[in-house]
Amino acid sequence: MKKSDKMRELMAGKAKAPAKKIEKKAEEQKEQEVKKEKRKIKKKKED
Amino acid sequence: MISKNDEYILAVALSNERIASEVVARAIDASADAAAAQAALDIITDSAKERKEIREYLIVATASRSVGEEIAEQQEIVVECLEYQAAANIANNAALNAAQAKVKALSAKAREYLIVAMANRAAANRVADEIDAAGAVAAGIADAI
Repeated sequence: MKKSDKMRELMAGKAKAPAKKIEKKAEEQKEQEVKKEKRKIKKKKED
Repeated sequence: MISKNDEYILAVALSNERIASEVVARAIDASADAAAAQAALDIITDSAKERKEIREYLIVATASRSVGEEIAEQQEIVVECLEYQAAANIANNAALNAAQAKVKALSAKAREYLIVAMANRAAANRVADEIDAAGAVAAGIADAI
């Protein structure tokens, strides 16, 4: 494999990294929302 | 990065596929952290012999010593900046700044000679743009804190 092709692969990998980060962040946000919702239901039940 | 097609045209101009690949690998226009810089350097495996060979091929292809040296020098500066970034050592900050001060966009003369060498204005301009972009990214590398 030529060095230029290896470098292209490396750069493509780097370009994909932020997209993965965004996905992870979205997942975390969703999880937090679910937790919030659960807390609300629990509070309502206690009341 | 320089496209595969432009690399092919460059390889024909240089009469050497391997040297064209070396030139393309050095036109890194993505900003990176220390780890990514090291990963790029691992691919490049820079050596004095390699540098001399690239320089000579560029001089012969462009039929101009000054132009060949100008292009080779800008690529060497990019690699030098990457080395300092990979080391991520504050002791290197002054050396990094000195290397960054040497980053220059390719001259109009260098572009014209490259166009003639590659016999393709659009492709040569794209290659020159990528070399300039790599220099701009190298010039933007932040000091190690």
